[in-house]
Amino acid sequence: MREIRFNEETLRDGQQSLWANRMPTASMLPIAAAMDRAGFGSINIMSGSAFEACILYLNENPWERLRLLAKLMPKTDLQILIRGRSAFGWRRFPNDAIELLIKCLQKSGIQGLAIFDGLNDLNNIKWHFQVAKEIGLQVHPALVFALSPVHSDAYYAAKARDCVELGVQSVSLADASGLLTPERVRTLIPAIRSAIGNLDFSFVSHCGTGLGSACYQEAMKLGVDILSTASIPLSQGNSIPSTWETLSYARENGLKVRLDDFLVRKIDDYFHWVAYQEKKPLGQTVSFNPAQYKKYAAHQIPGGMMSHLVSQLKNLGLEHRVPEVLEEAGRVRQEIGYPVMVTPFSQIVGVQAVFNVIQKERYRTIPSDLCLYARGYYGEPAAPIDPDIQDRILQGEDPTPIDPAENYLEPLVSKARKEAGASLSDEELLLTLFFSHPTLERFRQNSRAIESPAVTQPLTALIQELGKRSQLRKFYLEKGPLRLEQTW
Amino acid sequence: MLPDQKEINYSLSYKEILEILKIIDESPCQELRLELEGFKLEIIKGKEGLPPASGIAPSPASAASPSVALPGVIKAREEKATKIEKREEFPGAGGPAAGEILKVTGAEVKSPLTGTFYRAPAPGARPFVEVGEAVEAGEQVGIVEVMKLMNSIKTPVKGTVRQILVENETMVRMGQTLMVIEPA
Repeated sequence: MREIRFNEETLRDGQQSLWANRMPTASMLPIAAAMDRAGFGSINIMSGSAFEACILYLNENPWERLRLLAKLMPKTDLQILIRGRSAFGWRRFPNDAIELLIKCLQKSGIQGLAIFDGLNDLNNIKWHFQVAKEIGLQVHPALVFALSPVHSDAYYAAKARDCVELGVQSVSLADASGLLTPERVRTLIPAIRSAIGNLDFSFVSHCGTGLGSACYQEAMKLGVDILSTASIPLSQGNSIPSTWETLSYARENGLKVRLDDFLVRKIDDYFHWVAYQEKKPLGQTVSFNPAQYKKYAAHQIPGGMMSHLVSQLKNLGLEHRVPEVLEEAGRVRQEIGYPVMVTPFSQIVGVQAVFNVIQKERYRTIPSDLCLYARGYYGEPAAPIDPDIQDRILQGEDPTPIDPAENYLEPLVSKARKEAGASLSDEELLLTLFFSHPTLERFRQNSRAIESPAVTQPLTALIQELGKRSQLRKFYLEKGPLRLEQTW
Repeated sequence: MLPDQKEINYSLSYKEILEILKIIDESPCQELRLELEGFKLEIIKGKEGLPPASGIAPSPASAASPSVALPGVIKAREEKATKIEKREEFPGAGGPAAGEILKVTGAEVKSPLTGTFYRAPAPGARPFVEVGEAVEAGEQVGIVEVMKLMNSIKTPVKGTVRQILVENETMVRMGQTLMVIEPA
């Protein structure tokens, strides 16, 4: 019987998509051991944006989170998502910084790296692969899906073949925006499969347009080996399908699943409690709406960026021009060669679209990042930039093409080390590369040690919650020989 | 202490207590009484000074119990309670003969709680048992679902299934006889 494995994403994609990465480590620790024993093939526990949220909002040391989770999860392979060349920061980092990061991740207890590049340009990330391989970490490249005339099945098959040649443990197809339809899955998955042979094939879709679960059902029938899922409270909405529903579909399709049902349900139950305590929303199932899907597919601006864009236009008193901006974003995206709408390209396209609309003249103001993009700084676009637009973008600028690899040899770590002094640990040195000085100063002042809270049993939790309710005058609780009465 | 060392106790789930809290918070009523297997909760709402609509019948044990229990105490008692529940799961089992209407003698398998009775582990699956089949003591013969929680129903004795008194997917009351087993 063919087996389907699960990559657990509650602590990474789940909370990133639904809770803006605001789940404190203290909420993860009580359930970590159960997650470790549940039978997942791997558990992804952090990404660059979660790392950043630890520093900016949670005042906890992300390295400490990694170590604590790794200690509680000794059985399962732990993975981290790395955002290509910008890794855990926003600027693009040279080889030595990437290397130091990967080595520190391994020391914290990580076994595998999931790595993507926004342009699917493997030249940007093959250094990551090389470093990881040398020190014995698994390499799981993710090819990011986009809907465009150039992102064809053949395009992804060729990219997948390139991954295989670089020596990887799996190839992943990542649909970050939920744009894949079951119809497209039926041609795309076999195309990639034929390119990678027997290598592990991993797939993740998202539920924002309502098609994620349907795509999973197709993908598992077509021979995908690994699916990424989350616990029920952190699934659906802009997140990914839940483990529980996916394993049910898998069994219906006669696939072998090595998950412990009881523990999967226990994990679901626990995160319901976390959501309640932290006043966080539960993922709601979205129904597919063809008209909305079509509108969304035209610009593909991700949810997080969309709310930002709308609020900025609102501040300018231009809320009524949102539809115009979105339409323009679709046009800009096409003209500059269909970048996948993930950071930083979604921002570049979105900002240019706003300029084009409010200035009444297209490409009059150009963000400097778009100039860099047009000169090749970010790597090779999926399609050539429209020559007329290329001229407009680089008008009055230095048009010399930039080879992205030129900057990869810059000795950044030794320079930072010289400035910081020998006493600073490698982990802290990396923080100085990823974050600005004031940000780190604020973090150092406010950071707190991560607590390992005692588990509140459900019954105790109920009693505590009842105690908080001012509208109650009296409660009486009986459980076995326990009798508890409280009167106010 | 690592959280690992203290396991989450599942005699009651978080989701259940969230449902209970939701009922309490959203219900406009003044009094609420909830009973589950081995679990009873009574609530009176309203500000001080308002007379209770009807008093809670004082439990003989409540006077002797401390009015606030520490979590550790609760846990210790819970474990004990779980054992008791298991032993008392089928109070009617092996006892007197079934009601006159049944005209069948044997051990009754009773529903320990109010909920929905299922004869099979999943929709469309083969029922756990059919009339005439032999069963071992402790073998699962059905499910009673309460608040989406599945509670397995087991036969207390070894024997032969003589009667199945409840249709699949119907509501059953606490203590209602579900099946009659003729002891071997």
